[in-house]
Amino acid sequence: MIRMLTAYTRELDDVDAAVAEVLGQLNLEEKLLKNSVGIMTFYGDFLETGVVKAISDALPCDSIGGTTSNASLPGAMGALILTLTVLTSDDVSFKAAVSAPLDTHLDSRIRDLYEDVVSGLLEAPSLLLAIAPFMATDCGDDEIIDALDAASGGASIFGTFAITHKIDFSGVYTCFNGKPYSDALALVGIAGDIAPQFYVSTIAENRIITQKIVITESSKNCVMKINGIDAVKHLEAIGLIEGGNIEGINAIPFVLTMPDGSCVTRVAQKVVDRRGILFSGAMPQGSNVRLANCDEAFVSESTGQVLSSLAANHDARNMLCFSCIGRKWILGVKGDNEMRQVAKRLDSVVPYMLAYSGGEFCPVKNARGELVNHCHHFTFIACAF
Amino acid sequence: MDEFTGPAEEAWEQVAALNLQIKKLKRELDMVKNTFVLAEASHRTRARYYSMLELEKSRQEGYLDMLLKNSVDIIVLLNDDARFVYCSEAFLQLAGISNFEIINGLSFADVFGPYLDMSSKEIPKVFLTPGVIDENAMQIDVRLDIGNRGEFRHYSAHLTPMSAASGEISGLMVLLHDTTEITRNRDMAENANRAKSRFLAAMSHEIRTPMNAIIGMSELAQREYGNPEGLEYISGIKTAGANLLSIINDILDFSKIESGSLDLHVAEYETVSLFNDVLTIANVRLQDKPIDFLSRIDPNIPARMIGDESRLRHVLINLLSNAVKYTERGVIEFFADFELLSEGEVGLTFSIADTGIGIRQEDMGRLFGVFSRVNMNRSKQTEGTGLGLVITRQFCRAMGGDVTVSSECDVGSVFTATVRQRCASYTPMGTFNRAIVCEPTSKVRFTAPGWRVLIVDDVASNLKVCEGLLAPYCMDVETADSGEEAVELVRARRYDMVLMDHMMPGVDGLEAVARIREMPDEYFRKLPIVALTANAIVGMKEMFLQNGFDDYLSKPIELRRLNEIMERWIPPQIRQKPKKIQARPESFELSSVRIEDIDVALGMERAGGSASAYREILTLFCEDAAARAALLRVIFRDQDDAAVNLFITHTHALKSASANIGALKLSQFAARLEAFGQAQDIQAIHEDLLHFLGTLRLTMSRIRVFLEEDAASRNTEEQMTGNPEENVLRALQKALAEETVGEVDALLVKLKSVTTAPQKMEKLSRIEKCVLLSEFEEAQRQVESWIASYTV
Repeated sequence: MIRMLTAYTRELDDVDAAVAEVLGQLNLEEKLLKNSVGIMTFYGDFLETGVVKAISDALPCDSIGGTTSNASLPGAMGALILTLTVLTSDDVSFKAAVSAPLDTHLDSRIRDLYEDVVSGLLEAPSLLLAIAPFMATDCGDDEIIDALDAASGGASIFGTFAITHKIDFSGVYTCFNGKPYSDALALVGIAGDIAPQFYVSTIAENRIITQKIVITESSKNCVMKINGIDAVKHLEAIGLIEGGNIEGINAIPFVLTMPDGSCVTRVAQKVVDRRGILFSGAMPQGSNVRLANCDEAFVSESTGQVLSSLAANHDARNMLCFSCIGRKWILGVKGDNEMRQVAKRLDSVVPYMLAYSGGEFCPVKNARGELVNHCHHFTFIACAF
Repeated sequence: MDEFTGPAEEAWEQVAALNLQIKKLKRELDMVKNTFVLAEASHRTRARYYSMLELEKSRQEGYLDMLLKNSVDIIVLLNDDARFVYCSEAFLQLAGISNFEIINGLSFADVFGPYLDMSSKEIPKVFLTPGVIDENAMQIDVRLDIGNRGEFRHYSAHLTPMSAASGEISGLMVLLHDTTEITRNRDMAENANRAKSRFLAAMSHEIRTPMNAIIGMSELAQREYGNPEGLEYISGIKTAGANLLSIINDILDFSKIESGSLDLHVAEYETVSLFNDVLTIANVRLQDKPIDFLSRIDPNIPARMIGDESRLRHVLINLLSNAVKYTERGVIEFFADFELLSEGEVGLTFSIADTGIGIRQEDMGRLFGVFSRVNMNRSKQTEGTGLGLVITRQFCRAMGGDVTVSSECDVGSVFTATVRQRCASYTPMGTFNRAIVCEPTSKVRFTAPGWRVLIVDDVASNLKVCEGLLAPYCMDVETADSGEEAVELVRARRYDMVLMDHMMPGVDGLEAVARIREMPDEYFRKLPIVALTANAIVGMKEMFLQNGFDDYLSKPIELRRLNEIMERWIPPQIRQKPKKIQARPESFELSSVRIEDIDVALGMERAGGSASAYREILTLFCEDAAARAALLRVIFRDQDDAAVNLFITHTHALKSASANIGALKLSQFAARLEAFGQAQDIQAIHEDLLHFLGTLRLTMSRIRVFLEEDAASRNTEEQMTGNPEENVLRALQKALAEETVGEVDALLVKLKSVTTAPQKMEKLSRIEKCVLLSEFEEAQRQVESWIASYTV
């Protein structure tokens, strides 16, 4: 059984005060059990001011974390906030670690990371909590999850790509025991008797615009040509890009139909060589892609879909949630609506933590009912345990 | 700073606090600014995109509108209550409705009901009942008089239900395509086709009769006319006439198929007879082509079937003929298999594989096309209407099967025909003996009347075999059963050729030849003497040539090799074209003969294909083998050199005699003993001789049992099944009445096989002549008169 303790602070400048505030909320002397690990989400400035380091140092256990744009937990929500979730248990063990830089030898470094985590556990982990760096390179998001999936032999992976509030995605960090990393994967392995349940929101078929576009030239996650013309030119023609500038394009999800008929959502991340677009995951040449019409109603409906499923899970004692930053951008100036919606349902029910994400890791069931690790975008995900 | 105290310190603290507040505010401002930038960028992008989508949507709507306005087809959209929500301009104009709003919301049945021709075969519910939608997509032909103009037109109506996202039917699309002109043209074409087919069917008799007369007269002229040049012209007329008749038959058959008047003549038939006819014709067509013809027929195929034997024969002959036509060398294989489909029904599968010119992939689609000839450059020398395969396929389909082909250009083709037949008797047909269809005339390329040949062999059955093989050459054949007798005969009479066995007791072949060569007179030195030997080992030929022989022939004798020898030694001026020989009367009788450890088919082949000759050879074999067996026991007792030599001679003789009747295991056993003898291995002979003699005794016993049973069954058959001759006559009577010429020809052949009495042969000849002249009525009278003679 895992006990989840949550705490937060908005104190960015007074490090001691921030630490005291957080520790005071946690009441670790009374509530801490034999094994523990900490998970932090924070506005980027908390790193600069040293609050993240100080809190990590003050914890009697290892911690991982990552930057985010907004976060919430029972009783608090916002942008300029640091959340701390401490998972503690007598019968479940935890091990946290961080990888070497993933800009090279990704597979072997993730394998080494996993070995490091496993070495600190009595048995193989049944759940991996991951906070990944936002790299926007030709290594797509699914390569990280595929490597971790391969290294762990298919253990369930739940987590997020760190993100910030900045439109250019600068200042994104993961951290391990308070130390920031721009290119490393932070991982917690959880071993023991837990039965996590996973929830993922979907994009309804009637929100998908029927007009298809075909990827006519691509390499991994970089698309050079769509419908036979340069990708940038095509997206300009349909209004998604203006003057080569892709700001705001993350409000439009790209729904890719895979060869096996399943659909995955991708987001455009940056322009390459002035004509191509880098996406969040592999975009196979010849694939059909459709765009989805996602608005405020979509965010509300899809979040509600997950919350309803969570409510039906009476065994859930704790919840970790991540929501795609694109959903927040859709909400525009009503950016807190989703957090409010979650707070309304969960605040007095279970301890939870919600943070915004640059990409979500959450297992889904395949046609045979088996859980398969997957990287998502534009989703609201939850792990209940 | 530390120096300041009092109000200054407070001021600094306040400044620090203010700075911190400013920092926090700047931070918040930065955060809010970023949020707005992001929100604004998202909003701008989405607004731009949706604006583009709206534009595109308008454009698409414009296209759709244009399409629907200008479509010549009538398109109607109905809601789930079968009421109009949309219709195309074409309907409004035709119906004389000025505005869609007039019918908007009205029930489809109410609007279209009055236009409908109620005699249309199947009318969808939506046309008849207001508020009801057909839930399945369908296409149906209807007749409508839209606008009530007094003229019904044909429409192809396509009904497509529309589904909502939930899966429920939300409406129906009705598309009506005017097919009046197409229907009119189709009807005219069909009528014309039917008229043509009726004409051709009526002309069938009128065309075939004179054709049969032309062919029949040519046949008669061939028999009567002696001048070779004239005979060639007549042969040309006959061949051309036969080809023309074949073309006419193809066209008439095809027209019957086209007009749908192809009827199957279903009757009971013998499967063996079918295969016999078909493979005989195939062999005839092979002529001198260097092609090996192999057949494998499932012995479990039921012996008696019910179906259209004539059409089935046509199918197989067509496919085999094509294989022969398009194969210059190599192999043609014929396979026949069957499977039990259901109670009383079997499926027959026939495969004809050849190593011919094959068919190009691009021509495969045209193969079964009418009047289609493929591989034109390579097949321009071959004749045909291009209807053969079409007709063959139609026949197969009429019999519940089909024809398929696989082929590779320059490699060969495999045609597979399948049919369904009812089974009259599940008794298996048994092993089909290829020998039955082996007609000696097809193997003999010439005759040599007056050419005198002496055959010398100490084994009576071997002499019989050789005599039988030489019979088709129409030579004067004499025999001698020893070397001594051969020498005396050669000295006394003038022969043109001698076939001399090598190993004989007393004066063997070598010594006999030496004595002949020593005789005075050049004739004896030049006399062609061919060695007959069962020892076809390396070096034997040279040995024979060095010892006075001119050539050699291995035993058992292969007809191909015999032909080569005859061609080599008989001068061209002596050789003549072979005349057609009547089929031997008993050729079909041994189709299901089984004698354990004896390959009857092989034995019959070596006997020249004649069942009666084979019976005689078997009888001679038993007599000869009994005598030699007794001699072997005696000889072996002595065990001296002379005895061993005699032992070798007699085992050698038994070796070849056994091989000649198809007792291959026995022949191999005899060969082993011969080898032991030559190796002077007395011990081995001692160990095996008794076993060999026991095997020989058993084989002779089996042969005797067969001969007794065979003689008894031939007698019984005549008594119990009635007169086979009468049975054939009655079938012939029916075929003549129906003028099924192919059937008549086949029955005439059968009649020849069951009729032997000379006076009846004359009756038969008269009937044949009538048929040749297409005087079927007269032929029928002749047959009836013959049948009547049984009751007298």
